[in-house]
Amino acid sequence: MTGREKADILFLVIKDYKSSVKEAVKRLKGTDIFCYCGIVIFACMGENLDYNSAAVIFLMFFGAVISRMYPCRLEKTLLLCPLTREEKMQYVKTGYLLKVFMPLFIYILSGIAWMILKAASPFYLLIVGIWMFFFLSCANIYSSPEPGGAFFNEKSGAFEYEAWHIANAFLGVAEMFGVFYLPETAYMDLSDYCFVILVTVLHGLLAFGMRKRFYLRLMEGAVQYENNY
Amino acid sequence: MKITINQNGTLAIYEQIVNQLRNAILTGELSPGEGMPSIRALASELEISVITTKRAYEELEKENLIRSVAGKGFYVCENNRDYLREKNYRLLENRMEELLKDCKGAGMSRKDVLSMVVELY
Amino acid sequence: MVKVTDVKKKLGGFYLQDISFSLPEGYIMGLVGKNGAGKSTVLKLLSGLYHQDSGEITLFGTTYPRDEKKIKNNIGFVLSEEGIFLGEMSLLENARMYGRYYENYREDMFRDYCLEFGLKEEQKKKKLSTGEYLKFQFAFALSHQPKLLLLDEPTANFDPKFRSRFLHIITDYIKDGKHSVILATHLTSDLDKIADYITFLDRGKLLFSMDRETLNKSYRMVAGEEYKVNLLPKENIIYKEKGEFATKALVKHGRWSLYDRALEVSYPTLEELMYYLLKGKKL
Repeated sequence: MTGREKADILFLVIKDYKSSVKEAVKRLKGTDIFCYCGIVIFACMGENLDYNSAAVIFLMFFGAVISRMYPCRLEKTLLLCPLTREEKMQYVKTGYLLKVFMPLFIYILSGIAWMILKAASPFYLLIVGIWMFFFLSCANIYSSPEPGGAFFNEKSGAFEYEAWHIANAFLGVAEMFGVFYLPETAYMDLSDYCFVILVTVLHGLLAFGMRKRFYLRLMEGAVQYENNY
Repeated sequence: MKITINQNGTLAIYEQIVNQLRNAILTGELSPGEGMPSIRALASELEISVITTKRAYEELEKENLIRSVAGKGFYVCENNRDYLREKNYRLLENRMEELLKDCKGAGMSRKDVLSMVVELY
Repeated sequence: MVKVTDVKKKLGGFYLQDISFSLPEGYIMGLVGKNGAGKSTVLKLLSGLYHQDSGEITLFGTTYPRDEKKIKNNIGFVLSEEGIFLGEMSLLENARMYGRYYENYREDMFRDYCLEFGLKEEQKKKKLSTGEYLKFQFAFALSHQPKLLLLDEPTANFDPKFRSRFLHIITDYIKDGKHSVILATHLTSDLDKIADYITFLDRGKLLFSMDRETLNKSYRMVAGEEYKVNLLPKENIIYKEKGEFATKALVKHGRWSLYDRALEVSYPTLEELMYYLLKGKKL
């Protein structure tokens, strides 16, 4: 596939994003909103809430909402168009990458700004960046219209899928906790480092496991009409 | 040549086409040896189904009014036109007989029938 | 061109079973039946959105998913389903965007059809009314010059003027004998004239699929006084209904069927056929 074709695909996926956001807002369930509000309130109770952590909440929130809003599936018209299986896969994979890297990209840009302003330490920004990457790559393994949509055919599969997601959510909360309650790098003690390393390793393993177990099945499910519309 | 389709008539669409084409042939509007419009062109022109048009042509073929030339389409037969006209008259005679029977049944006299014919013709 | 053999498909509580029909090149097929009979499901199977649980669907001599790209290049669709094409983009942008995937898409054709159908090509898709949305799909379908058109309930939302224009377009489209149309509808009056084949579905089952003239040869509508209708052979009467002035019945017509002269005998319209066959359920 040439660069131009890839750019075309990206363009179409972004267009599709845009037009489905409105629809997606309607799809957001009460429980989702409640959950996100809870996270934000919980975060706001932190003792050292500053501009930096407010931005991180926003990004995490934004990333999570986007992943819920825009399920991994091929746009309906494309299902009717003459495309080979590989081309279709390229679309849904691009969509997935976009959902992971768009919030991350915004984070990196703002992170560079903070670093220049010396508002945050590089170590701290790097760790949060890694956490975000793991969290988003897990959260976006999500298919529509119900959680686990494509996996619901086999009941046990759906259960396992949900369990992985809950684990991801727990680690996400732990990371949020870390963002707000960990002291500045200079004041971190051994237990703080242990916490960071433990959470990072666990989340890394989780992300790796989810990708291995679900990514391909998700993509295969995403290029079908059934279960998605 | 003008063909009109009346969708609400009691005659089936193919019968309407057969009648109108037969008349066109008998009156000489379509002359012997002349090519008929292709089935698909006629169907599209009249906005009716191809199958119906095909059936009408088959019917005309059975009556020896047209013949098909493989790969070329249908042509009006070079039959003795008087013979065909004769045949058609006989057909009309039969229908007239039926009609007159109905008229008698309705209590019409010979004079009534004649005056009705004069008036309608 | 289209051959469907013993296709089964289960969708939630709906079960499409043992559907078989075929459509040669150059003809129009009407897919009729009440709402929920399975017409849209059949069209979605043909357009490759659904995959059958069992049975075979052959299109242009090949099958999904092996030659998916080739098949889809030759299929034009008008589906009564929301969310096809992007709402935020104009009609022309949409056509350009998706036209790229088709081998034979021609933008000048699309623009001509838009003009002809009274569509504004710079209008956003989400601003279209239902009728316009279908017209837009129709314009797009025609502009990539497919061999087979799949149309799902298009005429219900067309104004009478466009409806006749539409009938003209599709009869003209199949004129060369190389193109075919499958038209699903519950409004059968449009099909009475133009359909070559009729496939009749009821609650997921196939009642029959045959050509229009065989259908005409097989059934008659009979109307008249009740006792006269009752004199007809019982086994031939599919269903009769007593009206205020006359009893009407749909009967099986054989080559040698005779009818009392006092009875009014006519060819059933598709609507009458659907109604009486469903009531009688004796085929």
